[in-house]
Amino acid sequence: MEKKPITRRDFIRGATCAALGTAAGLSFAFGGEEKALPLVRAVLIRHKDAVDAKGVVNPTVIQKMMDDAVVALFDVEKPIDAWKLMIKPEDIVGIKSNVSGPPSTPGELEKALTKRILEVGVSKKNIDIGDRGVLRQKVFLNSTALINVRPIRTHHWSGVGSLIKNYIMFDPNPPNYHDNYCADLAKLWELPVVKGKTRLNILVLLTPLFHGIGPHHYDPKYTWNYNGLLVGTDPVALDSIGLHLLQAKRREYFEKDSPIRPTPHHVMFADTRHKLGTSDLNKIELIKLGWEKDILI
Amino acid sequence: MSKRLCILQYLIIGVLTTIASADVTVVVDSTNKDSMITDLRQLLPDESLGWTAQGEIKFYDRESIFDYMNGAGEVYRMYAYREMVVQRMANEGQPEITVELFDMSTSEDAFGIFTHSRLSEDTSPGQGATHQPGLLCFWKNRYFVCITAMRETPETKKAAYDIAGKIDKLILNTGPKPAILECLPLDRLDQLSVRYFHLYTSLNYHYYLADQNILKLNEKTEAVIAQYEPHRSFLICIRYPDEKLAKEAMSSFREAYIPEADSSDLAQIEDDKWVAAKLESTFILLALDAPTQDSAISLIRAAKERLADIDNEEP
Repeated sequence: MEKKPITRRDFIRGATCAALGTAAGLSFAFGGEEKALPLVRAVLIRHKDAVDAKGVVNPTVIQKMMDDAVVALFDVEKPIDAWKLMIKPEDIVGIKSNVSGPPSTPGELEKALTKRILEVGVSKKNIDIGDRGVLRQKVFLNSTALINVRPIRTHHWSGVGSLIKNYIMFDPNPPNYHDNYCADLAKLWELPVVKGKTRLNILVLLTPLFHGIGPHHYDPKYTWNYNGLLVGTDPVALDSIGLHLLQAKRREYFEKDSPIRPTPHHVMFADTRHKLGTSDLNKIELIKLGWEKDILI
Repeated sequence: MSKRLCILQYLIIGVLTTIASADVTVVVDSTNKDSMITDLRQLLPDESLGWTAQGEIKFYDRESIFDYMNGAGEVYRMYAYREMVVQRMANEGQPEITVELFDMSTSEDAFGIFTHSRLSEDTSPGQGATHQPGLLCFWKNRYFVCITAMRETPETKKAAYDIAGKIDKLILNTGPKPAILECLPLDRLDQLSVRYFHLYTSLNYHYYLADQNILKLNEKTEAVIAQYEPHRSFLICIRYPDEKLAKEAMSSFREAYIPEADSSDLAQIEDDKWVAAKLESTFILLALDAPTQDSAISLIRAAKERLADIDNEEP
């Protein structure tokens, strides 16, 4: 064995990714005994009218949520100030969306992002939105900045479809990343086409999918209107919080600890092996804005 | 590809087909076909209660399965999955139905993939079936079949069972379940928790043990995991191809998971639960999440007593 294995006992001891331990059915929460100074900021914003009972996304509400989130994230006065910190007028910006699912990235959110990027002064021809075709889209191939936006949902092989995983379409051969339940998906972020370009990550928590069985699983009864967006610059931190949320929902729904299967350990390895970000919930400052009902985390 | 061409292709493939993948090499013996169907398409019905076959039947082997189901194809590749066919069926005013038929090479692996994610079990169709809204799956002999409706209605459910019944009839023979199931004591066993597998990736799906293969599982090992009431303790029984590998695996497990244990191979871990391990010839038995030392030992002892019932053929 090349290196010391990380075992279930390490999770129980809390010596490694708390969110992953949670996903494996073990109990963790923000603010444990070994509380450290937060190093990473994330903003969770919710609005009760973001999505209606029929699943229709309210574009005005979504725009406001995004605006409030980036203002809080960057601690600035106005949304445009935040966007100017992320994007320059001369940037070529790819919005990496996600069409798989459901749930998929809502068009209303894509429009809200595009609107603010245009306001920074980026030329319309230098902005594009894509998912499966990114390697054929000029803007993505020449991009200088990326916005990574996708919903969280359970996944039959990687445990969850995550922000980390959302870049898999930047590799022409996605099966390269399948080994050991996609353990090393974070390697994707080293690809030249994406490395160092991501300015903002948005984990869409409007109607998360928290459970499923089988390769094509989707059952609306395992989704709920959480009506949230999780916004930050660290994809690993956001995915860790997303996992924590899914596990909390599973505990509530199934009335017992119910680990996500397979264990989405690619989130932990993105931190411990690949140093892409932090998966330690104690090192994340989570700012909560808006609707508080049934917030779960 | 025409049906005739496809059959010809099978004939050319010949007696032994070696399927290679990144982490597993499975040798498929196609000599002992009995009444096996050489072309999976022969098992698919053209119609059922108003649903009729639409378009071409799609065919996917171990490599092209990713074209159909992306990463989820790896689930089937953890077993000796060989190939599959997919048929879509339509009925005006009703949701579409998709029929997926997998050749898993052996009945043991058809049972294995069936147990991978079952939530319930009925005795028919086939040798065991599981139904949840919009999805009916069953296994029979070396085949695993899933029938999916985009949305379940009373009509789609009826049609799914009708399609399953037709396929069941065309697969003439049943196949054996894995012999290693015999090592599971029946007292307080949760039957639905029984999972048969080969690789550590499968084990980690059912019980996340470690990020590495600390039990040295490979495509030639056979393993079963199950839970016992009332504390939901786990029992894992693994058969290795030879005693040497079993010994090495036991050492590896001790070192990685219970380094503090003495020769009794017993340890109480951080969540106050007990782990017990036992090396017995080519077998390793593990009790996990046991509430007491005695319960861990009892589970191992009961499993050990049953090992004699398992045939001594190599897995």
